[in-house]
Amino acid sequence: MEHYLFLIPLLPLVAFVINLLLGRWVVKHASAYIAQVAMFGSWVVSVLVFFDIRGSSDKVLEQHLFTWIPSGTFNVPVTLHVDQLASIMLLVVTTVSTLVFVYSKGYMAHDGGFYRFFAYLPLFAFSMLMLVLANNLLLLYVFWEAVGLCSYLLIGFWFRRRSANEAAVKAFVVNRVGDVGFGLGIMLTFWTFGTVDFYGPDGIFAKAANHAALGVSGGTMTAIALLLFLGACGKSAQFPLHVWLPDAMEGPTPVSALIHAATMVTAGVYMVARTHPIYLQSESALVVVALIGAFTSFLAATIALVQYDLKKVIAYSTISQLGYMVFALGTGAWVAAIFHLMTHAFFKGLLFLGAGSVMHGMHDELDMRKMGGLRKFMPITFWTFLIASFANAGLIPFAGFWSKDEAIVGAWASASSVGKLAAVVGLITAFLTALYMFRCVFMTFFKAPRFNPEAIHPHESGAWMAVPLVILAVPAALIGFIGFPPENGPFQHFLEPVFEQAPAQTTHANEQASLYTIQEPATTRTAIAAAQAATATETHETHVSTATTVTFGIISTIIAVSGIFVAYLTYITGTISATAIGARFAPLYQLFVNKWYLDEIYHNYITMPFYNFAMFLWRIVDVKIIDGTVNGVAALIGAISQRMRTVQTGLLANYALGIALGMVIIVGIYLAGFSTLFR
Amino acid sequence: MPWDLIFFYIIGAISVLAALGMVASPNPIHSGILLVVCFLNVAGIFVMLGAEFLAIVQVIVYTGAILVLLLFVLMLVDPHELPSFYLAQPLQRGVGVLLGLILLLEIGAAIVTQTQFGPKGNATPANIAAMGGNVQALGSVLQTNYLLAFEVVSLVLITGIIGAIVLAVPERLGQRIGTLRSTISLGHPRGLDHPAALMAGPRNETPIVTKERKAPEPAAVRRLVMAKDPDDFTSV
Amino acid sequence: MGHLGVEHYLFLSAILFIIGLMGVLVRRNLLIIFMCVELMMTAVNISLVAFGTATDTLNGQAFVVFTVAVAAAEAAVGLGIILALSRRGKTVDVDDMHSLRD
Repeated sequence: MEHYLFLIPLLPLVAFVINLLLGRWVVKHASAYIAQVAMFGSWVVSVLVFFDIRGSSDKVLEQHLFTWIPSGTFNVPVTLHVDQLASIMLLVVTTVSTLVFVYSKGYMAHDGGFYRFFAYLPLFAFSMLMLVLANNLLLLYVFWEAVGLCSYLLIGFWFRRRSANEAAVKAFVVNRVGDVGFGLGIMLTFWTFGTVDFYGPDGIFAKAANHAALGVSGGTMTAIALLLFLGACGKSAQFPLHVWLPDAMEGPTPVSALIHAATMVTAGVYMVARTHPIYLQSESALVVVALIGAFTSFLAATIALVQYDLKKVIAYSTISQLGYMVFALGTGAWVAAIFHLMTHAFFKGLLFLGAGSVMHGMHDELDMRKMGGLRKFMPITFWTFLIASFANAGLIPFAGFWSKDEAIVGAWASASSVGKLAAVVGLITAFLTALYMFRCVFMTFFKAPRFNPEAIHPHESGAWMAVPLVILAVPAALIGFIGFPPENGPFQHFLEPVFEQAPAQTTHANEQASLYTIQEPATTRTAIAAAQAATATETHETHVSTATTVTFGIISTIIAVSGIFVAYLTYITGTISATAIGARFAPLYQLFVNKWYLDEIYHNYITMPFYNFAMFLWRIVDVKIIDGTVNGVAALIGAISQRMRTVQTGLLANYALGIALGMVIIVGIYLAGFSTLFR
Repeated sequence: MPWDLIFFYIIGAISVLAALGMVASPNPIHSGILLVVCFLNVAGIFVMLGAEFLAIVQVIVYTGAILVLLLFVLMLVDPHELPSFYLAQPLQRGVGVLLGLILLLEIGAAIVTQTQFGPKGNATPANIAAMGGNVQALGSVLQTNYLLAFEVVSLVLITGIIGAIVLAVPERLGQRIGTLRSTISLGHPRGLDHPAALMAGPRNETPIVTKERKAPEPAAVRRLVMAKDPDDFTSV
Repeated sequence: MGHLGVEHYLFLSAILFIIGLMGVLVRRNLLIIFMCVELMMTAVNISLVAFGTATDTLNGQAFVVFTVAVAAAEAAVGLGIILALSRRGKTVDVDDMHSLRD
């Protein structure tokens, strides 16, 4: 199978090239079909790759394409590497991409930039797939930037809109902050280990695992991990770099679904999971990751609670869910993070596509206060949206429940107190999630319409948009069962080879690994009983984990149901008055409505000082000092020349006299200084 | 008194007198002929110095070619326009003579005081005779040590010839060529693209744009926009 | 070379050079100035050959070969310039040629 790996990124690339070069004049509306066929082909290959990998326990596919930078000992190959983690990502990316491409055909049908849209989308898919397939940090970084570029292009897709341009620039600039950290992390990695390759005996992972033997201090490992995580913060919209994602909703809704919910924003999570051997070496870095993830999930959930813009609610929900993944990473629950990444891709993509469908039916109306009762007008959208909302809220049979619960349990089960804290925050956030999700559902689809049905005529979307909704609803509802039973399902077993290898190598890592002893094949599949008998601690851990899982399952179900119930009381029956609560907790409400004043803080304390400094450099240093010096020199020389030009009489005789005088002086100097005339 | 000394004084005296006469003669034609006399004597000096080849070159190139060329030019320039005797301004004349005398004194002093020469070479008269004479010896030096310079000189010569032809092309022919060609600066005739400036031409010059040859119209009037105030183009 | 020291030739060279220089300085006829320049060059040639002979090398004579070649080129170009100037301005007086000033 490894000989066909190149097809996965190549097909979208071909579609991109065709649509970009020929889209406007030749292909026109067929550009959608080109992109869809290419993406579908990519999906087929990904599925084949998945089954190939699944065939044996730790099979890895690798295809070397060419060497990008051959320079002495520094070689950067372009090699596609597929292990279990990458194959999961491939499936997620290609599946969601294919469905979004189909959906976009309907959503963008009347847009003037149709072909351009279908050129950018495959470019994004290509970049994202290459990011997933990269086998070294530098290649990953290149396509990391490439997906950032696609994100910029697609947020600013309607570039005639000022707000879209500003949002695109904001996303780009905020991501740069993270990417600078990522870039420095790569440089530090290369400086420390002398390579950027992930795998192999000389790769980063092998060297990171026994960094102590190589004389690399723990502080360096922490620095590398934190710098890399800064990049992940930017891309995965974690506090303090999350501010770009809500604004990114200026882009077309399929873009929000594909890039800003399902795939690109999870690249940060993927990258941290991919480089987990580095993080395992640094306890403090993991603590930072966990704290930031937990805080982000809570922060975004509180903001989502008070938003009225349908897409903004879902966007903040995305940030919040990404926070879950990140704190799962930070507490060492790698599998849970990836599990949540996968389920989230499906249900959040579905949520966005549903929101897009609502927008489409409501003529680009996004304010939920002007909706209501849409369930009668657009039943397909309603039911699929409802399924996705259940999944997002974490109700029991739906996908989100299993993964979110696993993340919380994973955090709780970690030895550190930070993990406990993260788990509690996760539970609180779960309540908020259910609340804002169903606030959204109830305001949009229930009660009487708050618009004029005669004037607006909401309608169900066409087949191009409805079919992807229905297809996506299936994994959004059911995909969680591949992680059943919790922590011991086929999904976890499938990912074991990726996350098991590193921990056992150092004692330091074992502290982190202990919470996942349950996943080690030696203790689970083959000889669980023997392991239980052998070490008391391990059996103890296993026992606690199982009990905790069930407990937390019950707790989070209760929380989710209560959240939905509160939303019901508030927005359907009106028993609880939202405005009264808002008035009672006015400072808190203001804080949430104003997004914790983060944009203002950034503006006042980061942007403006830089702006003023730049203006100072321009107006004072550049205009006055540098230009003043240059112009002053020119003016001075001009003034001197003006006086000197009278010397130039234009008379040959005078020039000849000058030459003769010069000759006399030179010979005189020779005589006086160098000859024996005066000695 | 040895013969060579007598010869030297005779030849030297003739050449100096001829040179003085050349400078002082009011008639340029006389000056030219006196210069020929001077150069012939210098050729004699070269013979006395053992540089027979250079003596021949002196006669052929200077007196034969250059001075004939000079006399041709004298003939070509309208004799009626030739001023009989041009002298510089009295002040310039005085300063010139004074400077010349000072320089002569200085050089004389330098010659008297400086007696040190570099190491002797092996081009003694005996060695040169063994090689077959001055011409053979000089030729071998030119073709070995100075080969590159020797080749480069040919480029200098050909450049000079082309330059002379270009300068000497009759005015009307030159004008005709000039009107057909623009300068190389991207088709802007003489670097100017403003029609009025083209029509007028540089000061005191004949305009290169005539009735037959119109000035090219500028494609469009371009407006130069410059940011004077930073606030015009930025917003917070 | 006998008892003719190199100083004799150098003095002759110096005298001819100064005569040429004075001619350049005091005359205004462009043609005469041109001839004076040629005279100065020849004077320099004499000293070059004299130095070469005094040190028993042929370098001086080789230099003179090049000098003569350059002088020939210079003569061609210079005379061309004089011809063009006289045609254009109807004069060979250097004091009348000051269009470079403006």
